[in-house]
Amino acid sequence: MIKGILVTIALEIFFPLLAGMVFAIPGKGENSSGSVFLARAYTSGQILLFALFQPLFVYSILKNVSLSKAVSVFLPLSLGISALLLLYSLIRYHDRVIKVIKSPAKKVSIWGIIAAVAVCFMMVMSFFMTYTDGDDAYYVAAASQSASSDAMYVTEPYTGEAILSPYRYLFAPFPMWVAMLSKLSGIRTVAMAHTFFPWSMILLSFAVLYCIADSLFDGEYRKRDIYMLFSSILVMFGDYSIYSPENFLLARSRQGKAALCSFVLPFLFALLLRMIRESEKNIKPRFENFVLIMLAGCAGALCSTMGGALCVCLVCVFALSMMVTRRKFLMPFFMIVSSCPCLVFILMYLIKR
Amino acid sequence: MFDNILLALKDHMGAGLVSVLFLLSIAYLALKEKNPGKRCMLIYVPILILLFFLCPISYRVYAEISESITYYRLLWLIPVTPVIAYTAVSICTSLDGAKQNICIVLLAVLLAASGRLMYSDIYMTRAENIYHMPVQVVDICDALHVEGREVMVLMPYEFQQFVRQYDPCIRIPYGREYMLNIAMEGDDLMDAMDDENRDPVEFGRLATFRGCHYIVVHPEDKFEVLPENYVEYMTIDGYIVYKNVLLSTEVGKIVND
Repeated sequence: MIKGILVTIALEIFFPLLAGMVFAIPGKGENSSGSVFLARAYTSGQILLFALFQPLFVYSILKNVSLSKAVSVFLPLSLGISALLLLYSLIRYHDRVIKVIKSPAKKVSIWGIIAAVAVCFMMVMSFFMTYTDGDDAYYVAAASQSASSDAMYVTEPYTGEAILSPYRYLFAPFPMWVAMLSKLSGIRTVAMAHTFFPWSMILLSFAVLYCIADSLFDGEYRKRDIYMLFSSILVMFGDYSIYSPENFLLARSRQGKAALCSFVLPFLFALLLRMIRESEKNIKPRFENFVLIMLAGCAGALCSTMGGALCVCLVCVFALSMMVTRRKFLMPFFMIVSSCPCLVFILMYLIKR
Repeated sequence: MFDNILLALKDHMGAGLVSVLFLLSIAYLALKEKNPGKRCMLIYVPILILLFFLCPISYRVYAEISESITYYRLLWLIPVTPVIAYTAVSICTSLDGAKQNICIVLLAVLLAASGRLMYSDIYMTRAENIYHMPVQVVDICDALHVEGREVMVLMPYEFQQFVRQYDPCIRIPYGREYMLNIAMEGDDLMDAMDDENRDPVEFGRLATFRGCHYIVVHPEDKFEVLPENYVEYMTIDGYIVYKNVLLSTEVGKIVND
């Protein structure tokens, strides 16, 4: 069990952190603290891993490839790409990385400490509290079934009968991510889904909110800390509706829908906010940010069949608003173009269903 | 159609004052916020998404591609938490010294009171074990599990949704669609199970025909007369397990000799 927990921590924290480092390098002339660098690297890395997972697993399911074979391709592929990106960022931007490492630690106010305690509380509660949701009968059972039989979407998760039409769900194979974590860590799938996975979604979600705070307050630590405090309260008291992203995050974090509404979409929002703030400071638009838009779309498609379309929708609304209010056309155009590749999964779904 | 859109909006807004606070925040920022980038992200984008959500064409397109019952997900694009939190910070930091700290505490209380604590939800309970499953499900599944093969178990309603999450080697004769009444056709075994005056002979035959190796029932639903082809096998955590005498649970065998 201890080995499994250590593997889970490595997969859920260190792997994405290293994979996303290239996307967190501050722009030329931009000041970034170590904590913001870590939050950006962690969230971008997870988006990268989700985006690599999506096409590979959709292809594997369509071709009836076993789970272990798909994992054995995904793992070296993602490790290789992460290592290459890490190497590239260290060689190309080593001066900026050193600058971030050497930057003095930013101050933390009492409000920041309270916010951090609240986030830790929610993470701890995810181990000890459970939420009964009928949809788990599909999503968690699909993950359990795949980890147990090594076949993906072959049997109906509700009953175990042969599946009649897998297309409703197979283009968003988020349960296979949970199955993969279970397989690699050796922790039983149901325990992985309900107990050892939710804390990482909560951490990711707050890392994104931290990135948003940084973009909104430009390193004003006190305002950022107060913002994090209010955010943590809004999340903890977000049970005003069963459809709120906060409810999904704390109650149903093992489902793809939760990852979509509390991590992927806020990540995209944080990215667009960062891009607009950079353009205000006349920092040249960076290629990596457009790549991240594309990756976020694919990560959204992994979480839910309509996830990719929702990501494209957010980018289009943002681009339209930027065109109208800021009279900028080229950057919004490239944003829309870079968000579109994920639509291929919806097209495939529409053709196959 | 517009009624459906408004219903989705109402469901998403739910109880509490968060939606009101969000609209007030937008209004406050529209008056006070000067930075064009922040205005774009925190005012124009949410308003445009809301208009897009209210547009019947969007609803029709969404329903065509996906299901209209999930239309509320379009509202996930609105950054409710960032907008409210940013407005609250703007209000607090416009004050100085002790006033600022008092304002932070008051706003924190207001935000907490406007929603509902997640851990007070009736469906949120203390986990009984590391699997977050009812302990009876774990015990029953462990007792009936056969290494190397699947077994079919007719479970009580309250356990249906947990069984295959915990042990996918246990199959159940009818799934959640039947319990939610969204299945295309009815299920004769489920109807027989529901029937208060169930005939044990007919019920036993039906369960055997559907390949149920075991029937698990709540103590209150105990059979007065044993179902045909079944014997009382064991009691686990108060639940009574009946075993089929014809169907084999041995690996590689379908029926008993």
